[in-house]
Amino acid sequence: MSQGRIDDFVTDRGFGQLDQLLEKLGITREAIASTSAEVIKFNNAIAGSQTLQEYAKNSVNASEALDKVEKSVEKARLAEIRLQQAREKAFDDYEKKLAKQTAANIKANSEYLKLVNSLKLAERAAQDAGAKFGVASQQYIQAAESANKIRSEIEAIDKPLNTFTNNTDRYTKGIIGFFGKAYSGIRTLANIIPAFGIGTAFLFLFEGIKKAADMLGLFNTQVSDAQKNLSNLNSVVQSANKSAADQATNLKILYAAATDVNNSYNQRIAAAEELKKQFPDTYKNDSDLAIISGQLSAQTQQLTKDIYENARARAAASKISELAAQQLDIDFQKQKIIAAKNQEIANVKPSTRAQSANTDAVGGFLTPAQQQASVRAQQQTLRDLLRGELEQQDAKRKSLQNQIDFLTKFAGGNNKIAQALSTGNTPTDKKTDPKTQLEEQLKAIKLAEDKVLEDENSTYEERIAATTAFYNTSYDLIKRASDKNVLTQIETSNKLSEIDLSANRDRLKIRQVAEKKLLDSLKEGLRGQEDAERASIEAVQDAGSQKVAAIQQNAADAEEALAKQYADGLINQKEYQTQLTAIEDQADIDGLDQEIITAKAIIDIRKGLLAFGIGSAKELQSAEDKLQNLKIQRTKSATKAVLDGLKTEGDARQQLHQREKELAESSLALIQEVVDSGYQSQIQKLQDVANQIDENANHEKQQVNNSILSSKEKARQTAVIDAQAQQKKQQLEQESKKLQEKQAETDRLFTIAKIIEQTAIAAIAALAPPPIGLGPVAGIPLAAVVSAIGAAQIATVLATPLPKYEKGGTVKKDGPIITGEAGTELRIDPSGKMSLTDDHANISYAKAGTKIISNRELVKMLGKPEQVAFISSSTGDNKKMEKLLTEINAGIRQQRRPVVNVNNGKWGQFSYTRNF
Amino acid sequence: MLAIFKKPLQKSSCFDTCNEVSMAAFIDAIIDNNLSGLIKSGTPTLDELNAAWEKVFNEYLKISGDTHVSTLLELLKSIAVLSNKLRLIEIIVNELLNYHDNELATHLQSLGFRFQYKNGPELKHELEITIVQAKALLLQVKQDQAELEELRQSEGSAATRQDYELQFSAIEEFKSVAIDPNTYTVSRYCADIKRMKERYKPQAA
Repeated sequence: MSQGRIDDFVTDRGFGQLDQLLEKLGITREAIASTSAEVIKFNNAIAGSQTLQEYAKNSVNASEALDKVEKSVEKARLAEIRLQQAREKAFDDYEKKLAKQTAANIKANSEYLKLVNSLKLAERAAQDAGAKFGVASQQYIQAAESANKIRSEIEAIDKPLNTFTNNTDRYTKGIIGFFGKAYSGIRTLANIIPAFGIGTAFLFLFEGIKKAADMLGLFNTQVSDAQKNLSNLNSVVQSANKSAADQATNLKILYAAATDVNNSYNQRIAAAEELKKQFPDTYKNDSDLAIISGQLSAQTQQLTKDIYENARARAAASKISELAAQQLDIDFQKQKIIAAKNQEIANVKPSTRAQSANTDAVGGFLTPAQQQASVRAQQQTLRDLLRGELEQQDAKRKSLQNQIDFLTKFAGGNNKIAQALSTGNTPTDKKTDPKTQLEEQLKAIKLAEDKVLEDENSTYEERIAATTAFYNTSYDLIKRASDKNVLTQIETSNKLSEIDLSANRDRLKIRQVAEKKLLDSLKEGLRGQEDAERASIEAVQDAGSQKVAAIQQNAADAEEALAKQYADGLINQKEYQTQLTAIEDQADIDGLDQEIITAKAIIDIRKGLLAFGIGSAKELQSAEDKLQNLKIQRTKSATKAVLDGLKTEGDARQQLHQREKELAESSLALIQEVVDSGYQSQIQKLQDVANQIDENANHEKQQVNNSILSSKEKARQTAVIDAQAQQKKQQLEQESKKLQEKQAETDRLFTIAKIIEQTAIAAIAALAPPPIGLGPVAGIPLAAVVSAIGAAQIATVLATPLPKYEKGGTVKKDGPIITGEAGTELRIDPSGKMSLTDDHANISYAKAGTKIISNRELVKMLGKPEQVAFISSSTGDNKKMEKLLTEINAGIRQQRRPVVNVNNGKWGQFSYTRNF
Repeated sequence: MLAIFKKPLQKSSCFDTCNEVSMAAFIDAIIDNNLSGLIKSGTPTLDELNAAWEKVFNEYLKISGDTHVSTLLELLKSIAVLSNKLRLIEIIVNELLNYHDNELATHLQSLGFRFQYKNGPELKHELEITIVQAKALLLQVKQDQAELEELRQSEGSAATRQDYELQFSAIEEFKSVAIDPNTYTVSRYCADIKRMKERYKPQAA
């Protein structure tokens, strides 16, 4: 036998490489843990930073540590891949060598068993020799030596066998470090069942040893079947031996008598004649001399063997019939079980009361949906029981079939059985007519065929084989009978026609039965398919519900953990609310995603069913409607999540937009206020003038009345004064009306301008990125994290000693401010007083609430000449205004002025020329 | 070499307090990042100069009563801590899904998650919930980033020399004395600005 050692299959170098790779993997994993600790340490240091410099330093340290962690992770992945590759190589080599070694092992085992039997015989012989001749006799000593020699041979095989086992153990121990303890079990099983190979044995790793062993039927069915087969075999052999013993003994005696030279010639001839009579098939063509001379020794031995084989085949056939009858009983039993269980399933009634306190049932009563679920659950339990019982019966039936197969194989196959039943070297009845004998043989052959055909468990191939055997064997017998002139030509022809007809009829019948079975099977299959697919819909629904429940449970757990963090003061209320909303939104979306997956799977199944004419289009439509609704819900939930995210993530951003909006609106409102106040002021002035006219007119009229003029003249002059005053007032009213119209027109323009501003802001807001991806926790873009240098720059900006308002704004605290650094600005004090700043940087003092209209805004305002007039009159600083306008006009000439077209339903088409 | 030719080692030193540093040196540092004005003696290294500037600038922030920088610092810290935390959570969760490691499990706990992370059937579930919670932290980071952006947007441009000159002229007018930025210290400047603000509060209209 092969002396290969299994631990030689993986070389020391190979082991060394695996060791090194494993060590490297361990080192990189340790590095991940230790550098992670560094990240945590530096992160804590960042949190405790008191200055920007400290922050920067700790931030750099943390980033570097994080880089180290990531590099370690990469290294670990690489080490895992290399180790895996090395393992696979080791496994390949091992599997090949193991197969070779196992074959050698089996061979050695076979030799070993032979020797063990020899040893038993030798020991027995030695004992006999000792008893007969004495333990000091030569015979005993020789026999004992013989036994010892065999024992040493056994040890010679046993030792390498043990070495094999030890080596495999060593190897297993050696590779435990790489493959884990489970491999030991696999290796052991692979040795127990070498035929399966290591690949099959690997099943055990994943399925569990017991499950896999059960699946392969290693320790129950097959062992049990083997015992039964042995038992059957014993029974058959005993029966066959008993049956064949008489014939074989008779043959032996006759042949011995015919060939025994101590007998007289006549006795020997008589014995030879008798042999020819009793065993004509063997000896009919041989001469008596040939028999008595011992030339037919081989034929006689073959005949003896045939006698035993045929007897064994007949005994096996008898046992097979017995086993087949038991199979029929099992089939009958199965039908009874199915009928009884189906009845039970049909009789299941819904329970109206809750079985457990831990239920959602209201007041302990189940809802209709819960009742249906209860019925389904009970029915499922009954189906499971039925399946279990049927599996038991099937196992029994399979066991019987295994025994039948074994016996059939033992007896030399179905043909051999049929042949043995029909022919065989049975002793020929000396008195039987050859024709009658032929008839009986043909009947026996037909009987054997019928037995196979009538057996419900016979396969199509077995039936065809039985019919073919019937035809061929019968044909041979008839032809032989014809050759021997037992049958005439006509009789031969008729007989051949009969068996031909019979065989064809049988073949047709077999085909019809097969077709019927096939049809039944198809029908059953379709019914089974329908049930299976309906069951699969339920299974998909159940699995989907479980996954949704798991998602909800995960979210609930996360919320609980979050609440605990909040309760422990690890996060503040704002963080809690933000994270809670995110978790809830995510759970909603994940749940709907799962429901969509389930709905799609169900639609696929229903489509498949419909293609086979099972189910209805309505059911499919309903499933598709449900899917559509789920998709709509998913969109809504996703939108809600985005909105929530925007609300949370962009809270500050929104505030910024809001502030911009407010600023823009307040700027516009301010401008409008300024302009309105200008109009109002002018209108008021006109009113004042009108009042003054009235007053003057009254005064003049008073003077006229106090004069010495005649009453008539007084009346005329008074009328003239009134008319003049009225005329002037009418002119003033017209002017006032014009101003009011202009004010209204300006208001309208401001409204449009507001719309434009708001639209622009909304557009900017719409471009804001979504709050959070739905994938796994992605790395934070590093660009978003302000670098240490960036932080210092911001710090210097923030460290500007005095507030600057080059972008405009409202002064928050009383104090000095810098104005005019970007050109002339409009300053409006809280009292409403307006003034223009210098066009260069200047320090001035401002009260909180003072508004600074930036140079940019101011230029924008001055796009309309009438506004120039109002601002000019409001500030009273014509010089600065003139300079400002000169600069603006110079700037405008150099600019391309974009025209913004706004189509607003209420206001119609409006073209707005932007001056900035 | 004879000892007589050896140059004695010159000890370097820097100005590192606001009452030592002149406004001229301060402006050079803050506007041009030129720290040479902080050299008191010898030839200090860049690290020494940076350390001195760090000290001066922090003192300046303190005595000028500026709150913007502390807000900025808090936001930067929060963003960095949460970002690092999230990245580390992702790495550790992935590793624990691959193989169990007690040390990594402990790290995850120290990052604020209260699960046991023991090797067993519960581990996967616990890691899934950890990820769910971590997603919520991501929002917090983004919120901080938005606030930081707002802070940056809401402020004006960086200070210029002209800004300081403007202030010096205002202080000169206020104090009726000429200011020499080379001798005028940062602490004096901060005190004068405070006093000037108090004195010239706008009168009620």
